[in-house]
Amino acid sequence: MASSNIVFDSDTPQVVQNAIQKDIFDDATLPTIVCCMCGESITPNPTSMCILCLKAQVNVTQSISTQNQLQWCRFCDRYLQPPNSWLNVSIESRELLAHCLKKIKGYGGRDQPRLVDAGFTWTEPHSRRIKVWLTLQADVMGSILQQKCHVEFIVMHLICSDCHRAETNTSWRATVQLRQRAVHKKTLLYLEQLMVKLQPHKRVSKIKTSPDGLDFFFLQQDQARKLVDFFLEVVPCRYKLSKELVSHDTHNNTYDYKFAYAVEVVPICKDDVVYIPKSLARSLGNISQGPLICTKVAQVIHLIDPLSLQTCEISSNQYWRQPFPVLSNPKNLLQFLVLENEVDLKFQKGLVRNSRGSGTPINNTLSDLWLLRMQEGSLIGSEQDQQIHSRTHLGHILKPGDCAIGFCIKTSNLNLSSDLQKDFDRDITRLPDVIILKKYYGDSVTRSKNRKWELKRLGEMETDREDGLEEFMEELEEDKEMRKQVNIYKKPYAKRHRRKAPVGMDINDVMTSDSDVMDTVDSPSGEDQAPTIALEEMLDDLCLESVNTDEN
Amino acid sequence: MATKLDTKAPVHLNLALPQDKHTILNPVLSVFSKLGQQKLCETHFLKDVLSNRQIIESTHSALASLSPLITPPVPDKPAPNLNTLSCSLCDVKFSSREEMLEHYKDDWHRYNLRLQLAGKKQVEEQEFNLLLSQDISSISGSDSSDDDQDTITKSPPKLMLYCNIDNTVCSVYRELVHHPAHTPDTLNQLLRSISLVPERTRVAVLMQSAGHFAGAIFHGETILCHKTFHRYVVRAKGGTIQSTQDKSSFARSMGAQIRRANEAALIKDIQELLRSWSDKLSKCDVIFIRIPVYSRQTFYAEGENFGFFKDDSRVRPVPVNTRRPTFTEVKRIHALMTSMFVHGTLDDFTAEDDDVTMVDHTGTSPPNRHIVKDLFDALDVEVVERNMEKETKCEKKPKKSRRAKKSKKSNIEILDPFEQFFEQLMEACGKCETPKVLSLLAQIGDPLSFPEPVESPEVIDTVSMEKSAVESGSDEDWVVLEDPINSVIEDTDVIEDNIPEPQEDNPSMIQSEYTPNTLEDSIESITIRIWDDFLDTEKRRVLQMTNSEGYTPLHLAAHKGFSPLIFHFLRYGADPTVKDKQGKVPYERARDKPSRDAFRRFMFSHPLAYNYSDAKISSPLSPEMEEEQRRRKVEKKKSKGSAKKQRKNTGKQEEGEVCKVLSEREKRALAAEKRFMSSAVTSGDKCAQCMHGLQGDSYFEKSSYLYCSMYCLKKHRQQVVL
Amino acid sequence: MACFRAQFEGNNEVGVFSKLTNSYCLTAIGQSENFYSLFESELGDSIPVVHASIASCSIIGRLCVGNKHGLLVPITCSDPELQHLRNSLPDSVKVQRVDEKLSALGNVICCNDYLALAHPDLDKETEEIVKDTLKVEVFRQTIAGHPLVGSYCQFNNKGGLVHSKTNKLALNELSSLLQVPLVAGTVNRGSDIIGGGLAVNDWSAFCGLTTTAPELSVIEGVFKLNVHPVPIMGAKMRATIVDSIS
Repeated sequence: MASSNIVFDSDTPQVVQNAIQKDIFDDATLPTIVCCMCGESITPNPTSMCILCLKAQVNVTQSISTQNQLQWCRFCDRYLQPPNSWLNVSIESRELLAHCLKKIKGYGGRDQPRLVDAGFTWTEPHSRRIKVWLTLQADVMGSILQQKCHVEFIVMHLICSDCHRAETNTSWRATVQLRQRAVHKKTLLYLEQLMVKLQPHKRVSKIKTSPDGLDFFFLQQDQARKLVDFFLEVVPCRYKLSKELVSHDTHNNTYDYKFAYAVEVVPICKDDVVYIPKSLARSLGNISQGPLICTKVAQVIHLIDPLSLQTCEISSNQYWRQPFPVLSNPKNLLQFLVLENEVDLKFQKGLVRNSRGSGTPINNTLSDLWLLRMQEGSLIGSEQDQQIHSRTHLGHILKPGDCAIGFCIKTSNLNLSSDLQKDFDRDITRLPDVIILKKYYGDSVTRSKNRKWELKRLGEMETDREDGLEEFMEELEEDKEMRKQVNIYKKPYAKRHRRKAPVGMDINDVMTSDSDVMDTVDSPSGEDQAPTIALEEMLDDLCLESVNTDEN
Repeated sequence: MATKLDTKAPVHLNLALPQDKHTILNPVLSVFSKLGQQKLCETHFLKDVLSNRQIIESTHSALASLSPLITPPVPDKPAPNLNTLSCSLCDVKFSSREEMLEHYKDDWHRYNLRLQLAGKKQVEEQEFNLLLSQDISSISGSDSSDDDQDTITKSPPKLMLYCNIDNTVCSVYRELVHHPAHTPDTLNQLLRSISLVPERTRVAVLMQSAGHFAGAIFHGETILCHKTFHRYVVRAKGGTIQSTQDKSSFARSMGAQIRRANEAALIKDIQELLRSWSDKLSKCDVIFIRIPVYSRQTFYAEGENFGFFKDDSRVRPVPVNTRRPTFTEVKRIHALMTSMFVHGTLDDFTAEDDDVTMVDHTGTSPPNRHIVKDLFDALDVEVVERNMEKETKCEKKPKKSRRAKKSKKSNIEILDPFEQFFEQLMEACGKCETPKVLSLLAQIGDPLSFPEPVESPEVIDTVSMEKSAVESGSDEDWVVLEDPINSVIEDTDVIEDNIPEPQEDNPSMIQSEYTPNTLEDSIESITIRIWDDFLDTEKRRVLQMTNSEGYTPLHLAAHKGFSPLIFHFLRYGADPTVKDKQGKVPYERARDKPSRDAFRRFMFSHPLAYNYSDAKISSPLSPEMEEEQRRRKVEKKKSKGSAKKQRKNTGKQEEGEVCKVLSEREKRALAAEKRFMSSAVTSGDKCAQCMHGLQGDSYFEKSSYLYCSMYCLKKHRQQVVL
Repeated sequence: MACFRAQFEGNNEVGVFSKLTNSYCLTAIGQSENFYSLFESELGDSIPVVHASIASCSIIGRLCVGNKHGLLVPITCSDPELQHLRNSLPDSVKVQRVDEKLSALGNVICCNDYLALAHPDLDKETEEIVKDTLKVEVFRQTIAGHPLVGSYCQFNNKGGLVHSKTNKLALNELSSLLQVPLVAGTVNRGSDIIGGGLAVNDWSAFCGLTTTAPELSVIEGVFKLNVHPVPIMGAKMRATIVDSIS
């Protein structure tokens, strides 16, 4: 029984001044009588009892139900508010208190005590008990008694209908179909990593992979819509809403639809070479129509003219108004050996293009390159005449002797539309033979072996989604800015070595290799050292399942 | 005793203890802890008296185990002081117990107790005595039932006290004797005014308050006339009349407008009434008036004469509090004002009321503790008269009788003779008592001689018709005359000596012809008595007087369809152009064709007598025209109706013709005979078989026999066949 | 004698269902005889204990008023009932019927053998009858502002208990008027309706079962029901106990 603390109180102004209170003032004229319970001498009051006896006689809280139950869905962390709504409230919050007080019966009515104050008493969350204390007041024969009591709530599990449906996977109301129709889907991979980090798809009931992208299933349309909005915000894309009538109630004119958002991400990825229509080029500060190299796909598409270092940004709307093709194909890219790098001094990285010395410094260095074609690590034709000239924006990265990856415009079959082809034919004379896209840091197999981090993926692992991932990860290693947008997780130790080392490897090796990781902190010591990610940028992944499986 | 323990040291023991350990404390500690709590209570208590809050924290579990430990204390307070000689209620102190007991039985104490129970403030002794002199009803313990009486706050009545030769103290209201503002200067004057009082039998009481008006004129005990009306004037919640309300704020609500209109209407009503009463009021000896200040204007309006004036000494205020003006209240006030109160002998009176000094003529004293009674009937007239003879010898005001000549008191209400006559006329007219009407008309005077351009023989004819009608009607309807006579009975001895000679004109001659018995004499004398004072022209005014519907006698006659009367009225000068309340002239009121024809006939015979276009009489009807009309009608019916109907019509026609030929008297006799026959047919019918009287509609006719039932019909048929 | 606790058919208002004076005791007629038998056992050898009803009601204590000299019953009392009372009560007791508007005489009049308090609105005639029949002096009074003096106070020839809200001055005045010590108190666990909850004469008192020990002690104290010299008995007892133990 928690009714131990009784306070005598009469300060509520709306209550008719209680009799005891009144008697205090004409105390002098009133005789003393004996308390009828204990014989104490008291001034008369309606109960003829002393205060202590009155407290002993009256239990204000007897009408209160001291044990109650709360229904709680553990999947979505919500509390049931009968009949069928669910409250998303956190523990010890005001809202939860209000919810609990609604559950408590026996106060506030006629002939029932009034609620004056209430609060939580702390309990362990895993105890599945919530304790609420109440302060109650009641009129007892003209005087006001105040008492505090505790009410215990047992938190019962009840899976809410939403979660239940999601768990059974039987139905969805809305779907988001994310697609990128490109040869390699680096933008999509980037988007996926953003989602891993920002979790815009909290309410998703199911994620399914498809050859060109991902399908997200939702129980409600607005949840899907939210995800679509997220996509529209972070990458250039467009969507189309289509709906399918599920059922129709003619009596109250309600329609039940399934919604499908088809989201299409622009098919342009980083390091793609594009050729843009003339009108678009004009609108973008009279940039040359091409070839332009895509440096980044974020909210907008960032393009750079490798011949003039002119940059431009194409928004989603601009793109979809005049879509343009990608010239390069990852499969057509060629390796070149840099023989000579003549930096154009006017366009060096860090220089300010403005003659007055103001404005933003340029990010790249324009330089002339002399290259030799390479194939699988060996040169093809070392003669003078085989040397290829190119101009590149990567003058600050490439050094003589480096390998670079380029794209041979003149020999490729470009499949341009007739208009573009006409322009292209006109321009072809001034274009270099090869467009250098990026520096080549080494064999992807070895790079992947040395990689000490990993990415999380959405949906089930499927082999066909692996293509492009390696490149994406290499890109991440090379691009520091990009890394900031995604979560990079430390590759679990066991996983790393299982793949790398054969069975029966010494534990010492493991230790040393681990210490290696610690040593190689973002400092490419050798010339050909591929860029790596510092340990500080990585996150520990809480992966209970894998630990368990390992132990087993 | 446990409570005697020193509480100071162990107080802190308890405070430090956690609550749930109370139950395991040993008893001694519990006692200590309890005491500690008490101490705590007290400190909190003191604090909270200051802060108007009271908080006491403690446990009850410990106490529950404690209570049997504490020995119930014998009331340890000092024995109550048995010598508190005071009454806190009345706030008095006493020197002895006897005095105190006396006080506790006192009326003052009891009155204060009742005030206390009613939640009112107690009164001082002097105040109480003052109250006692005014109102004793609420003191005696048994009168709580008549609460409604208490609502009237009573003020000391203005009584005049008198002591007669038998040492009997009597009192009357001063207002009966003289106007409060005109107090007689000398004793002789006062005595004279008192001696006049018994003659003051005509008293009017007019009361107005809050939209109610009640007024009556009394002659002795009888009510000559009275009237009450009520208009919605006073705001239900505000409690003031609208015009008073308007002085502060002019409300535009619908209610306010209604009240304003009603106020105006009320004033109009009252003034109209007073106007109609003005001659009676002017004859009144005393007029008791109870009107609020705001309506003084109504009663003393400029340029109006209601029979009394603003500074009239006859007009006196009602010296007692009154209730809502109703007829009963008026009667009550009248009875009260004209009553004398007897207070027993002088010794009794003075013994009872020490503080009532016998003031000459303005002494205020309550009719105290004695049954207030109207003793007029009980008083011996002779004694009274004797007292009156000796009254001047009395030092104190002598008792006087208001009605020394009680034997001469008249019981008969005096109505306006015109009205009375009019009423008679209307009554007779309503009953179609032609002879009576004629006799009454005869009193008015001659039939007017209208300027007649052509003296047609027809006129002479009609005059003779009238004569004969009166003669014929007299025997038949004589019995009916008794009632109106009774209603007109007057106090004959008052007037017996001045009965004038009956006028020797034509109608009265006719009257004297058929008034053979003594009763008739008296009637005649009465009527003559009433009428002798007036000139004929004045008397004719009666014919223009109207009743409540605005009917003149002519209207009534036309309405009832008494065609002969119409003719007579017209002859006596009843104006056919007078309109009733609905704006109709008598001709329009005429019920049937014969009565309309009567107008037209008169128009034919006296073409210049009245303005016939105003009277809306369409055209004169000459006998020739009548004949023509009748013939045309007959022809019409002949061509149309069946043989049976035709026969009937001709019968009627013949009858009509016979009627026309016959004198008025014969006509009436015929009519009477016919009436008798028809009534014999309808009422005296019997069933042809069972010979039971037939009643109502339950009988039927079959082949000229009447039957009461199918059974009788069958039986009768069988008999007839047999 | 002392104070006893009783209950009339589950009702604790003893003063309502009984009338106790120094020369007789009336009890209401009820379904069970427990109430009567308690009175009979405690009083039977000194005064007559009589079953009675007034106007077929069992609330006789509130309807009638009396002391050792007489008994007043309201006008509603039927003739057989009156006759029964006259037959049952001692000859010295005058039984009188009173035509009074305030017909619950027990509520409006409270008396001992010498003095009576009465409702301020009581009829003068009734007051005279009370004077004559009960041989008392009558004073109009209120108790703690209540006119129902019979309901809110109870006194015998030795003392009296009044409504707990009676103020001190009024208490002193009352006690000096009645010439007996008065104490403000309660019966039946805090009830202020003393007259309803308590029936008392000079040597015994009856109150409801819910009356608590402190209340009982007050009642016994103020009505002076404990006249026996207890301490001597206590000493004797102690001596014997000590003897037996040692």
